[in-house]
Amino acid sequence: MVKRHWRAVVTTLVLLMALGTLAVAIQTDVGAHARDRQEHTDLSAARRTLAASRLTLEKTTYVKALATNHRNDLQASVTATLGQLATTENTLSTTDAFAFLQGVSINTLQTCLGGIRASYQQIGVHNNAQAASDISSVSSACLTLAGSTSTGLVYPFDFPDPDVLRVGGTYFAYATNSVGGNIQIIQSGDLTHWSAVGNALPTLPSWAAPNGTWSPAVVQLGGTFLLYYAAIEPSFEGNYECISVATATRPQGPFIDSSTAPMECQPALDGSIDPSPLVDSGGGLFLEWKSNGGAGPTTIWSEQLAASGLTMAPNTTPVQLLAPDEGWQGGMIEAPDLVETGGRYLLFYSGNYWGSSNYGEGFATCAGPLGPCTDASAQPILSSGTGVSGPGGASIFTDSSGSTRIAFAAWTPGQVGYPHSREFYLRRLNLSGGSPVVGSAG
Amino acid sequence: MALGALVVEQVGEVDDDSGRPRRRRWPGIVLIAVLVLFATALGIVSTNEVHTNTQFDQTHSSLDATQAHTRIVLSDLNTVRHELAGVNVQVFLTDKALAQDAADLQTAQSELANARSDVSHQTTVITDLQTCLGGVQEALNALSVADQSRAIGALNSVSSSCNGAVAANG
Repeated sequence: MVKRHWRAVVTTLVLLMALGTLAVAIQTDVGAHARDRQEHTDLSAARRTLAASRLTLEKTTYVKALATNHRNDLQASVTATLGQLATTENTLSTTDAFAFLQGVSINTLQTCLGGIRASYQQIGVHNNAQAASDISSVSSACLTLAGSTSTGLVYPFDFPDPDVLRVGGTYFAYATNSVGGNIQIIQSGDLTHWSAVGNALPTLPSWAAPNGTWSPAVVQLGGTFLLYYAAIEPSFEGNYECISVATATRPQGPFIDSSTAPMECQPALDGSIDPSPLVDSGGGLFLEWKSNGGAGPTTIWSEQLAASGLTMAPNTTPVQLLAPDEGWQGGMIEAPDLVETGGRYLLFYSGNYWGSSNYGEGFATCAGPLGPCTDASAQPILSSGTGVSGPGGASIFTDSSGSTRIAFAAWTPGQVGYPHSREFYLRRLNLSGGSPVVGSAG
Repeated sequence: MALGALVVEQVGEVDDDSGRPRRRRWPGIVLIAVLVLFATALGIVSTNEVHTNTQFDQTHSSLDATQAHTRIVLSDLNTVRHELAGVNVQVFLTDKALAQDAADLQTAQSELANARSDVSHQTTVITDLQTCLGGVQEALNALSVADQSRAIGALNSVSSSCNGAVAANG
């Protein structure tokens, strides 16, 4: 009985244990399923979140790419704009500077033009002194307009056939009649800045006609200054030029010519012009000039002067020094200037037509002031070039430092021939070699 | 094992008794069957649980990976958003600078146009003045040698330029 009861109990216990185990297993399984479902739910949610995050990331990345491109485009635009701005500002700066210089040029032009017009008006009322003063007052402005002084331009007005005389520390330059009067005279203390003095020969001798007083040259004999020049002698058929002389006690004049007839005239040769005096190392006084030729060629002559310089020396006759013999001379030579230097005589002259760009300067060597001379210029030593056209009518002189200078007149290129201006130039001249060499300005 | 031995023992005891063998065996068989059912169910449940746990582990692993990935993506997103904000600031500043530069350029171009216009005007004035000056200078040269007809001709030839220069300068 006890045994059977025990068995039942055991069996019941086993069944209960089995049931309990199964129940626990089922419960555990249900819990596992529940956790698994929850995990799946969480996983799904996480995946949705991930997908959404990825989408957001892609969108944001795309937006960032767009923004970056936009930024890059803007930066490129900024760079391009800054480049344009720099270029524009640079151009603006250059243009402003140019405009400023133009403004200066306009002021300078107006100043120069004002002086020229004032001088013109004074000429119109026959006030040559004021005309010279007016034109002198704007010389600097007009010189600036004429451009670089590297060409040697020092006086930017009509100043043909110049002759330079140094008296102490002052230089006087004389020229053919123009604004300044019958014989123009300007002066300078430094050979750079020149101012008009006025009319060196206010009154012409009775035999001379006005408006044709050419090629002056001045020499100092003691306390007297002698001005040689050419003037029209109307009594000769053809109104030939003849040579005369005037005197003054000061280099700036006024020079007085009280002659009743020309000093030298060669009617058969169509007149005499371009006088040029020389005092040689022996104290002899000579005059060189040009005859216009007549039936023959233009010729350069020389004759000794009397000690006073007012007449030719007694018992002398003109000696022919030179006639044209080179092609560049175009059959015409004139404006002699005989220079004694280093024991030799050099005859400077101008060749070809004065109103053309073919005009130039040549030289000949001479045994003495009365020749004989030999032309030494197969080509001119000074001719048209940069900034000058048709240079000639030269005057050779020594400055206060002992340097040799050459003064000449020349046209502005493109403005050749009357009534344009033959302006006044100065350059250095080297006479140390066999052939004179025209050097730089200054 | 213990349950099996118990069942065998009960069956043996029943077979040795005469007259009541069928009635004494039936509970044991039922018990055994029940136990087998229990064991089977338990096995199924256990297998299911194991499978469920395996799935859970896989799901959990996937969830971990997804969450890690999400964190990375969110980190990337945060970085991109930060960069985007920076780019937007740059866009704003660059746009502002461009507007200023464009305005400066327009001003400079306007000034340049004015300056060029001035230069053009002044060039005309200079040309007129130079022409006028040349003519007056020629007239001066002509008049100084009493060549009045040449002087008048020279002035007439430049009168329009002189008038133009005067008009241009008020």
